[in-house]
Amino acid sequence: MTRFPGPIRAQDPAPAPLPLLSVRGLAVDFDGPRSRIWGPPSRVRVLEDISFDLAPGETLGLVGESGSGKSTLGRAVLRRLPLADGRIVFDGRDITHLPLAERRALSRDIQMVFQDPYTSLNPRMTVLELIAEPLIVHGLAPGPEAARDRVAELLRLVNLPPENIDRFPHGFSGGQRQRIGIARALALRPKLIIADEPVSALDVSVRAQVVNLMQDLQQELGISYLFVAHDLSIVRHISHRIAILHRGRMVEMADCDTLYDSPAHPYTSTLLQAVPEPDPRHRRGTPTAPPPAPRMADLVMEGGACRYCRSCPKVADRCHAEAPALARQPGRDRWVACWEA
Amino acid sequence: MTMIPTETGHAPARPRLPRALVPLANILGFLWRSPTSAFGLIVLGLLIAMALLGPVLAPYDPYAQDLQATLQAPSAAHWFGTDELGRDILSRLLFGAAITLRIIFLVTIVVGPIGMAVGTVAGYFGGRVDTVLMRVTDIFLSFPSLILSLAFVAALGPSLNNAIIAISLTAWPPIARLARAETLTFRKADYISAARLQGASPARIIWKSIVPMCLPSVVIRLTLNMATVILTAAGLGFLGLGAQPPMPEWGAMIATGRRYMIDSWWLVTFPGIAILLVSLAFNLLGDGLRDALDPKQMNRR
Repeated sequence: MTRFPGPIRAQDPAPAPLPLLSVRGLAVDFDGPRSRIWGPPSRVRVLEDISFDLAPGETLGLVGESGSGKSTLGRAVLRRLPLADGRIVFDGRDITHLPLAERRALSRDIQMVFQDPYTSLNPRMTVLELIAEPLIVHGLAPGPEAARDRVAELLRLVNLPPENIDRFPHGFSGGQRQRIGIARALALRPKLIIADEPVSALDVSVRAQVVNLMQDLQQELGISYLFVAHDLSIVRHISHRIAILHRGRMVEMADCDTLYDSPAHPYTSTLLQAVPEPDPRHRRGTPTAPPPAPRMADLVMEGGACRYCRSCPKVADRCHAEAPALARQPGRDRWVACWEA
Repeated sequence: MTMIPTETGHAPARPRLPRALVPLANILGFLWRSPTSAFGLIVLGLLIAMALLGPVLAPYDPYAQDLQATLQAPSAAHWFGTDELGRDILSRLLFGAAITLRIIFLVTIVVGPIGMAVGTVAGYFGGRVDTVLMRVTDIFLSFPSLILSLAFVAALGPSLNNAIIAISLTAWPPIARLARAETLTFRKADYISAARLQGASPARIIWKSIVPMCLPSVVIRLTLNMATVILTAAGLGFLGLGAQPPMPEWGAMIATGRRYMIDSWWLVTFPGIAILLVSLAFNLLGDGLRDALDPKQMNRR
């Protein structure tokens, strides 16, 4: 088995198309419980050995249970977290270590759409001020009034009537607010948008509208998305490829159809079985209860074993001794981290 | 999906105010609808009117002594009576309104920004910045405010301006604490992260996102504090460390009237009522503002 993309070296032939975002061996540590009262906090590895590429105009869905590190991965790519290990290359530029000023400048290219449209919009700013803010911060407009035309254009882009430009966010529904959030993210014409569960706080009836809008915008503007979600049907709808995270590790990554039709990792199968199927004729076997979310203490203590070995139906002796690395399946565009796959 | 109702229904009926004044007019309108805060507004309005028109309205010169007519009871000639030097108490009260207003104004414009700056900076940055700023605040808080003011005035020398400085120095720590507490509640809010992700500098985030959110509670707290400020100023005046004679400051008037209190009740009663009314008005106004500035009320406007 070939190890999934190794370190980027100058002599490597450039893959086509050149990825917009390359993440290699990314690891993030958080402070865990202290062993002694005044002692240093222990380190908890919340993301370990994450590697993937994202092509321009591509959507990568990040799926996993609570605590699997999917939101943390988004924040790590935004360079808002210290990395314990690994490299991030964005648009041909190494952004692993950036001084503060350049990290701010990076926000022109990488933007974020938040989960909760009710808390992510400042209630005391009008739509105009909200969407003009990034333009002002980056010196593209001297004040909100100067950006009025551009903001109206952005509102039209997200299918909101530009007449609402001077209203406050509390007058809008959740779906409308999320579209304001998307317009704000688009203001700087970013190349990558990190969407942190952008529809999970919305009414089921407007989820599709927002997801379709994001897809249309992708086709129109060629943006890449890192789409964090736990709703598997929506991820399937919007993503080109999907990566499954489990306890800070990537366990499987493949294109949508491959992953959904023939999941290779036992954890992926469990996740897919948990999706409710309205038609009993298409039932995918008896759903097994997903394992409980990891506790901090578990993460601290786990050593070399596969992190899924306690709940895995296919567990073997080897799984307790050694964690499998994410590796490419021979001849296929699918990566799995499992000894049994 | 629901459409947003537009304002065309009632807007043309009223004369258009400049955009910046609309919220202010809304708040005043809200205060006016509740009897207690309306009372506060009226008293505050009267105080301002007295301060502005005092020199015109006053029947006598507040400094003019008339030793023929000392300690006269209220009468048609002297509505509120005269003091031990024959000065008209009504005239002195009217002139005193300007002094009270000056104390309130100066203390507010010193205390508000200092408290706000210390609190928001400490709350936003956290960590060591927070520790240093909050320990300084604690030192100021650990003295009773009147004692600390006394110490400052004693060091600076007794005068009205020094009393104002002393009061300001003791009044900002509670504001700073409040602003910090408010900042902590939404420091982690998504829209603050959003501003940071857009590349905004900490100064811009504090000024554009945090200060406006802290402003309502700080304004309420400042208004409620005004009663204390007036009382502290009166107390300093009473102790002879604030306004100096012959200045017609209300606290100082009570202090000098105290010696004649048993026989001439009007010397202390009228300035006392004035202080009471103004303090009460500020408390009621503060209460009204708390309702008016409640973020949940914003939806109705």
